Amino acid sequence: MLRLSTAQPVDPSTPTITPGLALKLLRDGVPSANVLAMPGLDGQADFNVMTRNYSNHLEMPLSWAVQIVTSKFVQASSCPLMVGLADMAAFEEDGTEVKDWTAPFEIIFVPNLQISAFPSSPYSGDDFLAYAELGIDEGSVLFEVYARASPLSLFDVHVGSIKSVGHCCVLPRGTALGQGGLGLEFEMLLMFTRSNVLAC
Amino acid sequence: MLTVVCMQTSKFTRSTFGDTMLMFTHGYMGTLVSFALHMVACKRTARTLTLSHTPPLLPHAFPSSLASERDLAKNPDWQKETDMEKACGAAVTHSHSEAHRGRVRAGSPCPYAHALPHDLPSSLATHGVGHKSACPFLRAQARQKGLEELDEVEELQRELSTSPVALG
Repeated sequence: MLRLSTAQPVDPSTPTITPGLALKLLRDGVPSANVLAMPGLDGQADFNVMTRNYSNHLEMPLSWAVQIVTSKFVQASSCPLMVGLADMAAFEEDGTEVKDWTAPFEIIFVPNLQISAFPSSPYSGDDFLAYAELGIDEGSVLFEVYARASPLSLFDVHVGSIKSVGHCCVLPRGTALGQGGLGLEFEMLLMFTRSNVLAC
Repeated sequence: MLTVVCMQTSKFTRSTFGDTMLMFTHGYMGTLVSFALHMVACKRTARTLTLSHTPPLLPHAFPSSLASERDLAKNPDWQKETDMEKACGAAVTHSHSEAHRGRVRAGSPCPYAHALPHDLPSSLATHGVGHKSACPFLRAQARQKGLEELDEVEELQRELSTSPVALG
């Protein structure tokens, strides 16, 4: 399951949007594998959220307000700008534990530029959901996924594609599948996807 | 005004009869002693928590499936290949005071703090504390405290590893 959302409310007056994605891969008998990725913490003026790469490694935000939030995260993690992949690699889809697991240093989601669901001009949060619901067709390849083995790796390795197997849907907050119900906070949009590497 | 303060900070009631300075001193000293005892207890508790991270954690008990500590523990070379302070966002704390940064370090002193034992390379997993610690923060701390402190720490670790009561 893939969630597309914004880290901050869409503000057409600024205008800035801070897109992010959460990928949840369900596994038998063990907690699901999760990864979060964003283009950056400072947001972007281009409201087309399918133009910049999403990564589990973020750069230090320039905004002092976001820096304060980041400093708060230090209380829970010694490395808040990185999202670990160890848990994702440590268990198979059927729940089997992988003793000697390996995981890449970085995972990069490269959006499909052919998807024109989102305009570059500012729009509201409600429009964001509507654009996704109406503009992304079933069977669309949303992201190509690349992995970087280590910080000094010269080449990124293509590990798969994320392809929708259904239409986007908006999940109302407070429902069983909405906010908190699937462990994906601030649920805005959920899309059923299939990757040719990490089948869900 | 001073009398009121004394009554609030001391259990003695004689302050109401004019011996305000003495009672204030008692109250102040009592507060200091309490604070010192509290700090000793905190230090002991913190050390116990630091050393008791070695018992194996169940996968589902891991603090967060998104935490990067396990990745860093499994791949110690990554820390040599990149500027970890920049990559991790530690630089964000530079705007705070040294005291604040000290508290942050004390609360999350080591990138291996949440690592599962079997994630650590064997060369690191066998050395939990002290100057042989896998954790740079603990290594530096150990160097400052000297060998005598190390012996005490290792003895405490042995106690913890053999005593279920202490671990609980």
